[in-house]
Amino acid sequence: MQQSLFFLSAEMTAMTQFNEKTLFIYQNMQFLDKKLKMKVPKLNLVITTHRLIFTNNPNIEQLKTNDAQFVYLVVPLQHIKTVQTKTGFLSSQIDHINFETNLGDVSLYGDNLEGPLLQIKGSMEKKEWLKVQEQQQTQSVYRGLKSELDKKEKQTQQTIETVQSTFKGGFEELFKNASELKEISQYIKQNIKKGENNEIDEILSKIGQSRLDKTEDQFYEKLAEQVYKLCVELFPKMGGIISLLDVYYYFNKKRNQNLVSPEEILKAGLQFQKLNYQAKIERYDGISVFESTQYNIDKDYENTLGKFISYEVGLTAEQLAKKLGISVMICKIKLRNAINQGKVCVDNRIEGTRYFQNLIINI
Amino acid sequence: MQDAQDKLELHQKLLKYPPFYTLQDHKETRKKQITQWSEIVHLYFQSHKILETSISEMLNVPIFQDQSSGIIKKLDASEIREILNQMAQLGSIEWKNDQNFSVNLVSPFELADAIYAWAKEKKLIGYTETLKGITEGSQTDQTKKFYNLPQEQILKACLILEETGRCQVYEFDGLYSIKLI
Repeated sequence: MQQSLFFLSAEMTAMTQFNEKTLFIYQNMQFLDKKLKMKVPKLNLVITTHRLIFTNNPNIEQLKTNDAQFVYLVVPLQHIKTVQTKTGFLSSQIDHINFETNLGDVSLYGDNLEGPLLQIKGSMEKKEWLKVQEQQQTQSVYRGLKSELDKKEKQTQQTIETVQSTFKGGFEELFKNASELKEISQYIKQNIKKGENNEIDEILSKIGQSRLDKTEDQFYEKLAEQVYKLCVELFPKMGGIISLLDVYYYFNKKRNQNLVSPEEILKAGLQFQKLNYQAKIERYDGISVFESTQYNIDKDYENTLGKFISYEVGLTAEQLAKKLGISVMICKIKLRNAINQGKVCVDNRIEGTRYFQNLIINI
Repeated sequence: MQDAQDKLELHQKLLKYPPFYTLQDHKETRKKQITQWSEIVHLYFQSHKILETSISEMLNVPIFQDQSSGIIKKLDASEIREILNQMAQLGSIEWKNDQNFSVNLVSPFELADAIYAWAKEKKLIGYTETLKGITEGSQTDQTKKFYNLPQEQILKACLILEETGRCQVYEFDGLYSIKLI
């Protein structure tokens, strides 16, 4: 059975706050936890300056921490957000009081609830719990230099303990765990000077590194190889054209460190023709893109734009890009190519530019 | 007749096609677009019997406006001028100045043929006739293509007849007459 959030142990109930005083005790009250729909009858309601305590302990004023056989349901006054009274159906007397609190809604049932209501409202207005907090703050300001030094020492001690727990067993223990990495780095160290080694190159490229070659040209050639590999992966997904920005993003995402600049990727791309790769750099409206040499505008149109554009319904570049899952920039390049081929017509309006299948050319 | 019906359907289809109201960049498409606009405008002039107008008046012509979406899309003055320039090349209109132009509802060659056929019908070959007599005389009627047309257009047609050896054109004091041969 789920326990009420207001339920407290005797020990917790006995812990009174600073300056808390009992104001009144009312008998034969009922407590209702609305969330659990749990009604507990025959309780004493103790109204203090800080809390409402519902209990069946008859000696609440001499409450001991080991009085565990009794029930204690506590509602701190500072957590009460609203208090509402409900009268009976045919009378004007208060039937029950509803409390909306941070922990949930509860109700107080009983006879002659006017008195408790006044006491509760009075306590809530006085806000005795706030006075306690201010005094405590005042005390902390004037604690003195010694207490500040103690506080610093405590913090330092905590930091030392944290670090020590991380390096339990010392650095040797750490190195034991990194034995595999140690072996790889030893292998690379021994073999890297021997010249070309495809295995080492592969290991280095997987961790985002490439060997520092002797000349700049060789560096760009190596980089071109890596960029081309990435382009070959991306061309089928992106429809044969990838913007320089996208290549820059995906390439560096793989590397994670020692990032390559867009200028370097562009220079690498300019090596493609020389290296007889099936990709090239093109510029459309000032935007550099990597384009597959096998990119066929007609086929690409049929497989991409052609599926969504029609004579009757015009779509914007943004709508088309969303449908195709490509960037708007690349979509506009494809649309420009399709317009140049006479496949697509443009409808320029104040609302925006839409693209339709070309009806006019077929007349 | 079937051709005319097909043309009408095509024009209606194009006028409902939103990109038709934006002159396209693609050369071939633009050429066809201008040609179709020329035909549509020429038919509009014919149906409304417009003989003279200007670009500013053309801006408010309903055929140049598309109301398919919320905000009306119109062809602007430069686009209309491009269409009218094409029509001028085909002889459908003649520019009077930068803004104004006259409309040839019928081409001069068609008019020339129509005048000669009428002259033959009315046995006027060998006789002299004034330009006014051709357009408004008792021997002509509303069924004729040249009925009530401006005299400049009739004169052009007569000059074509003269070129083809079918008439002689005389001018006296600014007034013209022709002798049909």
